[in-house]
Amino acid sequence: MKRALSTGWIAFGLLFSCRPLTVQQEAFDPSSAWLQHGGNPGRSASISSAPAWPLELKWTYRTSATAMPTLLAKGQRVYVSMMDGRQVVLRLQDGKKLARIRLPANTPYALMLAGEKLVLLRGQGENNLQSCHLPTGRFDWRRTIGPCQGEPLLVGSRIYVARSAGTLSAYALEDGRELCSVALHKPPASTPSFGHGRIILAVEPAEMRAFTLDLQPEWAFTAEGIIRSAPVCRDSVLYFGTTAGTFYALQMRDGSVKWRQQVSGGLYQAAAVDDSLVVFGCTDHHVYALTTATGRLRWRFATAAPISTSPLLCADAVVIGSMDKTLYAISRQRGRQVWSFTAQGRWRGGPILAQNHLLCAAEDDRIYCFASP
Amino acid sequence: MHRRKALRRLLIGLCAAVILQPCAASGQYYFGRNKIIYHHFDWRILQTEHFEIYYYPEMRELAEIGARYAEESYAALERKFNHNIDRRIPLIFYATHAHFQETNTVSSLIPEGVGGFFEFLKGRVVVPANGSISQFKQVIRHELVHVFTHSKVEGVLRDHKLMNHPQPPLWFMEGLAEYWSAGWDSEAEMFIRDAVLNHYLFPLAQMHQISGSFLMYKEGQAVMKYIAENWGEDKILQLMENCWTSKLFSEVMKRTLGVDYRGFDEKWLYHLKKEKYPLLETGDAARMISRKLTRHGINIKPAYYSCGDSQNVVFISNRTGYSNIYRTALNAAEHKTKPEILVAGERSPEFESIHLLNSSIDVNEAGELAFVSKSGESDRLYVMDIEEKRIIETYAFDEVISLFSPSWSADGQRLVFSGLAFNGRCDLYSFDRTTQQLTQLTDDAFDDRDPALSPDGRFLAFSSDRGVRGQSGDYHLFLMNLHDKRIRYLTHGAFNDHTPRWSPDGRFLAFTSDRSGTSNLWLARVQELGDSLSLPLKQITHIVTGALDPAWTRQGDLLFTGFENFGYHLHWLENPAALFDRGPSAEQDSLPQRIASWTHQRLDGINTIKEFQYKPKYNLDIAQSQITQDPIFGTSGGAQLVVSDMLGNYQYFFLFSNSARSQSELLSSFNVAVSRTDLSRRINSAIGGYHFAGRYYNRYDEWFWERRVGGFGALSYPLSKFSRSEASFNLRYSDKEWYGRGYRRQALLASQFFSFIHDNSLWGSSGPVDGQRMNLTLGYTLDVANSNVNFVSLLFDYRRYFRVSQQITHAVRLWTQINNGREATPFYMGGSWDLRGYRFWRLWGTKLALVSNELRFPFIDRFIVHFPFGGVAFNGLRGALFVDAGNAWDRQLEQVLGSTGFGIRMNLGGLLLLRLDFGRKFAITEPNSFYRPASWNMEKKWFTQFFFGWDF
Repeated sequence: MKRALSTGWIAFGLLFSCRPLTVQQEAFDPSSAWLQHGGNPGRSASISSAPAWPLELKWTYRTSATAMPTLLAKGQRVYVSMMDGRQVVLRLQDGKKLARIRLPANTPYALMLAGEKLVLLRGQGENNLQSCHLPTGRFDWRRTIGPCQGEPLLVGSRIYVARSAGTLSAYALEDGRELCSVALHKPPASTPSFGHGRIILAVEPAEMRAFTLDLQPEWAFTAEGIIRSAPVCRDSVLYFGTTAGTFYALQMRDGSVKWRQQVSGGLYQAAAVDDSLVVFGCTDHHVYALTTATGRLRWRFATAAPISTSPLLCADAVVIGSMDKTLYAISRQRGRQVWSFTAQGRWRGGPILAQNHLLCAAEDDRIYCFASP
Repeated sequence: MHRRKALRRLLIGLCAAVILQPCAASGQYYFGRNKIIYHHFDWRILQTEHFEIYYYPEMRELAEIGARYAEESYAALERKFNHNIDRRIPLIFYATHAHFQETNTVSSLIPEGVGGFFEFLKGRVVVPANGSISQFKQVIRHELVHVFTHSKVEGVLRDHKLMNHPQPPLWFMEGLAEYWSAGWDSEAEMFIRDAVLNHYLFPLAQMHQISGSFLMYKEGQAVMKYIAENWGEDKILQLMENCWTSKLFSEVMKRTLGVDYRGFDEKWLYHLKKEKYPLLETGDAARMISRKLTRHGINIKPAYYSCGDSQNVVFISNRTGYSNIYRTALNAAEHKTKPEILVAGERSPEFESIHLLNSSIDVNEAGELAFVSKSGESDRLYVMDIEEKRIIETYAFDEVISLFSPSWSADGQRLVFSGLAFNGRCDLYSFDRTTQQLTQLTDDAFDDRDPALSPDGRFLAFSSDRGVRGQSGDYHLFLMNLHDKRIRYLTHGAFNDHTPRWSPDGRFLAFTSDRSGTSNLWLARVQELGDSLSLPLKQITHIVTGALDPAWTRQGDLLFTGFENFGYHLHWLENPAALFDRGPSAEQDSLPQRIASWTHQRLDGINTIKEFQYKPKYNLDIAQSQITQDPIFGTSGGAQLVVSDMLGNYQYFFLFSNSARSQSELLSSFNVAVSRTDLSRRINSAIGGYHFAGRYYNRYDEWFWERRVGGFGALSYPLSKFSRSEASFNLRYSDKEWYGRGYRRQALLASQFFSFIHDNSLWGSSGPVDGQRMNLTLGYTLDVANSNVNFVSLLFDYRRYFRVSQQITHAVRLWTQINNGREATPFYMGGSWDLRGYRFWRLWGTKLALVSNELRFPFIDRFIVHFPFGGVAFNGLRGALFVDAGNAWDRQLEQVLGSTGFGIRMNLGGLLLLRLDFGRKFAITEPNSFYRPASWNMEKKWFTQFFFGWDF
């Protein structure tokens, strides 16, 4: 009854109020939350749990447009941003729409959850960086920060944003105040990530740079080939690939090459990494799994088309989507398929796991949710 | 612009005419050239992993080569675009361009310059071969870039739900397709050099002014090259991925590259100037080192001809718009004489097309011109006596579909040429005029072109891709010993050599080579023709923008085609042998001892190959719906669907509408028409049925209600590209009630019509400017049940266009239409399209006649209107002076109405022509009277009439 009332209140607020969203805070398990792109500041897209394979389709939700690459989940809420500028909140259990965020724009927002706040970043326009207090549905603050790209990065109480004019800036989560920034002198090429006390960002065309938390430059590394994917950090190692097919593991402290591996296609999506394995997809239709220690190829899995999502690394499997419209779960030990699902459209963004529910968006304008039967 | 009014337009016209007018006579009224289906191909489908290849058995080898290359291209483009195509792509191959011109995948006639296309309604790629495998592959790659670009951009816009968002501009799409298929080649270099050095390069901000032109293709290719070199190829992909961010592509570029159009143009133009201007230090302009012989149009493929003391050049040109073969004296410029037409092309079935860009001509010592022209389903070889201007021999060969570049032996008894066979292979042939025997000299998959017999008749020089570098599309010169048919290299390297031509004394071989960046003339001194061939080479022209098509004069001078200031013109270079002996020493190519054979890869290694017979499967071409609300006619709505098969040979049309004004009328007011056309054979046919019912109004019958239920059949037989005959039969039950008269009649109407249509007109920017067109239709409509209707019909519309000068045309039109008999339906006249000055369809009668005279001329080339917030430019306004006279009547012509005045025409992007006429009306009363003179009265008041529509 209480839930129904709160849902009704949200609906009321949706219809008759200017407040974009009201979501009551509820208890949740932080380890099963997906709060920002890649699941954590390092963007490692790995999770220690795993559902029991094979999964069955639990629900689908028809979106108004293709969903943005990042789905967020916290507790029983799934936050979806779409490319027509709309955002919805769904219930994890059954995919029911709980709320819709109304913002005066038809350009897409990247979302990030920070405690009770929902941070929204838009590529261009007025008030393109905003923070919304979820329990009250009020905006804490709104800032116009100029054209941006990629996803926001939350480290502590700071939001890091790559700005298209060639600047990396940090804003206070509390009030959106600009804390510091650094001129890149070139356009950014990726979403920023964090690891080993450093902010990492790719800069056009082929440079990876590291900064302190106060955005003091530390080191820069020039790769072979253009960088389009987000850098991924874990255990003081930075992982990224280039469109020329070179995959790098760099030491975070100084940017030196720990190892590198060459594959036959281009790398456009971010990798996923945990303690022992780093996984990424390639335009040559393959998913590659390398050991984090040496970069040795553990296994390679073939799909029927270029890989279209970044991977999700679970305890026992890798989940990844391909342009052949199939979402694959591949055994992380042997590299064999343990489950798959074919949708009507190509898979986009990256799958996430929340409370053993696997979620992913496809370009048939649907969010798919799978769970163990 | 020619538009073939295919049979389906006849049907739509018929359907529309049946709705609007009870008599179907006016529905057949149209012109147009004809697409003739000479071959009923036995289509098969080769299905690979990503493609469905449509081919016919004779070209199986080409189909396999094309399939293999298509899969390779797909893999490469998948990576370049980071995108895949989620359906099998239909690829429709033709073995020759002549076959390609028969395709029904598009309704319009296909010009010779079209090398292939991507048709996005059904997602079809249609590609002809022309003998060159490398060019075939390049076209496949070019069109696949379009497929990927279209899919990628469509996906991006669909993701953002931007349904009406503009696509990237045409220069981007075509420039990308050129760049990612051909890279940067000597042809592109030639055009861009010329544009920069002659100051006509269009910056991005003005690229819309050359939209669709060949220059746009090359500029787009240059822009892509510049972006790739300065920002990286990945930025090209990002431009597509960011296309949703703004409706203005300039803004998309600003977001992606950091510069908008203006900023890009500054950098790009500066870069081009820095790159191209220094070329003038070591290069020449063609007009500065040789004598320029022509001034207007495209003038190419020169051949020397002397008669007595006069020295002449015979060449191909499109200076009037038609491609013709001309003769002019070498000193014509001094005497200011104009070239004389020897062969008028593109106006008659004998000379449908003389292959303006692809085939050279030759003249022998006896003054006989050898040339080829398309005539019917294949090419013919013609021999013309130049002095008599008479065709003396005509040859057609069953073995070859297309012929290119005939070349005489020194004694004039043999002709060698390259010929394209039904299977798409291009080989060399020799034809003996005495024995009438055709001998095939080469027989392989290599593309052999530009044959030239040595003066002593022992050797044949030609251009071919048969060397190992041919795999990458390089053409070199080869020499065949005609005694033992042994072939060896004459040139070899990372370049293209074409059109070898022996000097009269046999000492030199002139040829075209792009080894210095653009095509220029080279001489090879042929010192030894034994086993140890020594061939010193020297570049004798250093024309910055290009020189082609060398032809020797008897005196040892060279005639050639120079490309300069976006024009191809003939030039005369004196004593090139002296140039050979001057300056730096000659080069020598390193010639391999033997010609390493190579083959094109076919189907090995391709997954998922299936083959099956083609069976027509239909899918939607067009679906349209419409609802209208009119205070008089009320509300009506309808839909139209067109479905066709993949090859466009069979089409179904469905038309639904309803004009009921109340529920009780709903069923009775349903209009439906269904028809099927068959374009698969030379005779096009159509059948259909319809039910039309509703209220109608015209000035003659006023308000009436009519129901028509019936069916029709139609046949169209093209006699040639320019003429056709048509027949149609229509049987319908008609129940008609005139409201005003309170009269109702029922009839079973049978109509038959026969037409003869001829059209060889040449179109300019506002309408036809040359040639003629005619429609003669006879018909009969009879009520076979009740004899309530019974009339004969005649339509005669003749239009002739007299070319006064290049830009000025005198157009004449004679038009009459007669319906004579019981319940003969009227015709309408008046308005900007016929009798100007009178309101649209103001005059009607069962008979009409009109004579129009119009002088069409250029008026304003360009004027720009500036506003505080911007400006607008108007280009190419044409003027017209006209006199129209005619009328419509029933029993007797009592008055001839007319008008005279001045008009202005403005073409809006090739889609619409706006017309504004000023003039005065006049009337001639009692023109038929013998006893009393007709009186003539002109109104003092001037009329102004504004409308749209092409000139007659």
